[in-house]
Amino acid sequence: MAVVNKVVNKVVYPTVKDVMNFSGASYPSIIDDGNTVAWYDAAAAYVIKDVSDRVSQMTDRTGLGHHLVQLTGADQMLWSATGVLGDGVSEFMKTATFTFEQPEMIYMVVKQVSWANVDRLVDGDVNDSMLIYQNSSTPKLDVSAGTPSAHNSNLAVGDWGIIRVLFNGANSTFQINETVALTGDYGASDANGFTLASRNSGSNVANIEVKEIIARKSADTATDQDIIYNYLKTKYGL
Amino acid sequence: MIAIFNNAESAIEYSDKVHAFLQKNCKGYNAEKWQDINKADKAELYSVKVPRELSSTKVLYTIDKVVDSVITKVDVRVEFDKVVEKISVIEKVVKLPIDWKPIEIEIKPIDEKIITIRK
Repeated sequence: MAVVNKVVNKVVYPTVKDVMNFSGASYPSIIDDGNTVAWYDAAAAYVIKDVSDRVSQMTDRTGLGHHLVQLTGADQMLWSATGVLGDGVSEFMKTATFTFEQPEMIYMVVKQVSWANVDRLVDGDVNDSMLIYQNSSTPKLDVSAGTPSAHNSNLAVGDWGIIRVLFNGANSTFQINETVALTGDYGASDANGFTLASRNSGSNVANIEVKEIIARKSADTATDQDIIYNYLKTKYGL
Repeated sequence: MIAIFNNAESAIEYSDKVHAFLQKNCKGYNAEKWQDINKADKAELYSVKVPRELSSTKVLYTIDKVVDSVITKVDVRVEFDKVVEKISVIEKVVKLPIDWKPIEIEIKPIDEKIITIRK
């Protein structure tokens, strides 16, 4: 979010929001255009964790308060300097319900640590409303908001990559890194929330590691997608 | 690593003790609970995840009501509030068997001594 300082008696104080957003790294202004509804970053500044690095919250960098939360200790994901890791057994996080309707755009820097059929990388606040999931055979990923996409095999297990998905009814797209985007009708369900590393219900838990996720309520143009993609690609040296 | 129990009460007791242990010993631990226990569909078996602080080299808690499971079982010991007990836990479980699922546990007031398990 834009850094707008408050001036009080000629002393400039950052707002709480500014402090939350300070990472020492710049980001594209499009993230501030009002369409970003959630932004998660595995940097320590945006994570609440205990001394054993169990993560109870990934703080929403937008300032909208759509934090990913897990208050069951055994289900808390594990933080490290490389990202936030879900064990594929029980660990996941989710937000409270918030308005997030199609068109929905997801950018995600992620690694499939292992692959298991129908495990979910992402879902919405209703089961299977905004899925990015492992399907069919390793390392295939599908997306679905009611209708599964074709399989995408372009993210090998163990590799970091950038997934971008547009859920927009008949005009949906699904792209991994700079490979050719899949297109089709992936369904019309609205997410109305965000679940990481499992189905909304907490089942189908995926063994993944995540560095950053940006969720937007817009059908980003190819140009805008590239701006955000290049920001993530450069930031993580992918 | 998970611990397997053959009754819900022991599993709940273990989960509660893990929670108390972490509240006491793990700075920043702010979970509301350690875990809702998982039940096997096809057997009276209950599992609770063992926290990484309580590995087999830094053992936690034991109880002799633990039963065998499909994976290698190891015995571990832990001192909890200066009481050393024993428990058998399962090592290196990557995923629970497919027929296991979480259940909600509703515990009635103690004087009623009733535990309701709702699938």
